[in-house]
Amino acid sequence: MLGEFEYLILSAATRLREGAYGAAIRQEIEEATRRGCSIGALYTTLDRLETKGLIKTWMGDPTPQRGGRPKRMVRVTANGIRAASDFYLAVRRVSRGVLWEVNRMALRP
Amino acid sequence: MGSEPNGSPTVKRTCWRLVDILSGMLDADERQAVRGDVAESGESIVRATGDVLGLIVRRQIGLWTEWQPWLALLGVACLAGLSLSRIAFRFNVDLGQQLMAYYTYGVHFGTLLTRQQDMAWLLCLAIALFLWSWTCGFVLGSLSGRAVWLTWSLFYLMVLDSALVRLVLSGNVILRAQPFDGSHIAAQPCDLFVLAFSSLGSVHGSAATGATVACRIRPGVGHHHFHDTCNVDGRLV
Repeated sequence: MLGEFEYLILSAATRLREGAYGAAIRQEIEEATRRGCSIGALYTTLDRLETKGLIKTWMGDPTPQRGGRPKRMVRVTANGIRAASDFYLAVRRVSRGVLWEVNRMALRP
Repeated sequence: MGSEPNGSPTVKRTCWRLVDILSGMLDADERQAVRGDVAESGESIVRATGDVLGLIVRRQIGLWTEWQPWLALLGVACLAGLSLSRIAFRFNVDLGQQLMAYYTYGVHFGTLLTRQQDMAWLLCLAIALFLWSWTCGFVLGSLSGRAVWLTWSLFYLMVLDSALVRLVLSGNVILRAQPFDGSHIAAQPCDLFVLAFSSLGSVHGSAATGATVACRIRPGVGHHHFHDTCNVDGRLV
């Protein structure tokens, strides 16, 4: 089972597709959660996800926008997509009938 | 790098330099990626420093989840360091006595041995010290990976001070209340000897196994290219 932060990273990386790398994933998570995301948490979780075989990372080519420094590119593997999907379904199942889910349904236009 | 509204340019430059120095504690690939991320996000110096420090702390803690640094700390820094401190202490005392007697009175210090035997004894101690220091440093470097700065420092302190601590505890030496001036660190020729050879050994040890340790802890290290194709559209393959 994934952790919450692992799920956020997998979702952000999947959404970003070919443009998934450290800073972009971080920005995506910060915008989605409206909370700060530290580089330390991000990079250690990327390592953990890679150890689990849920993502693949590699060093990209240097770009002038980053002072000639390379990006750590991220790609979600098939196992990663399966794990994120399972997590999402589990959250949906466990949320059935709970207060915030009911309210959300009621507020839906 | 990022923007910082407060502080003079010199202070800001110094702070960013500090961030660069701090990030030097990370693996080469990760250092570049983190510096690039910090530059791209344009965050403040305070947040950048916190981010880099946070990652370094997490990496260092991560190293200690493996058994190798613990073996280096307990087996080499503590146990082997204790044995080495006995040799170092003996060498310091014997060499000091001979040098003092020679330079003060121009004579050989009486040890019930001949001058040649004493020289051979000191030479043997020096060789033992060299081999033991280098081996300990090599094993420390091999086992500790990027935690070598800590295990090596503890090892060095153990070698320098455990003999003194033993003497103080046994009552043979009484310490007077004097301010600490740091002179006991690497004050003797033998200490510099240990310092030099154990550092050399640890550098060799780290170089020999550094990549292996880094890969074990950080699977992404060394992956410069990615050829595997993965589905990122949400469909399972």
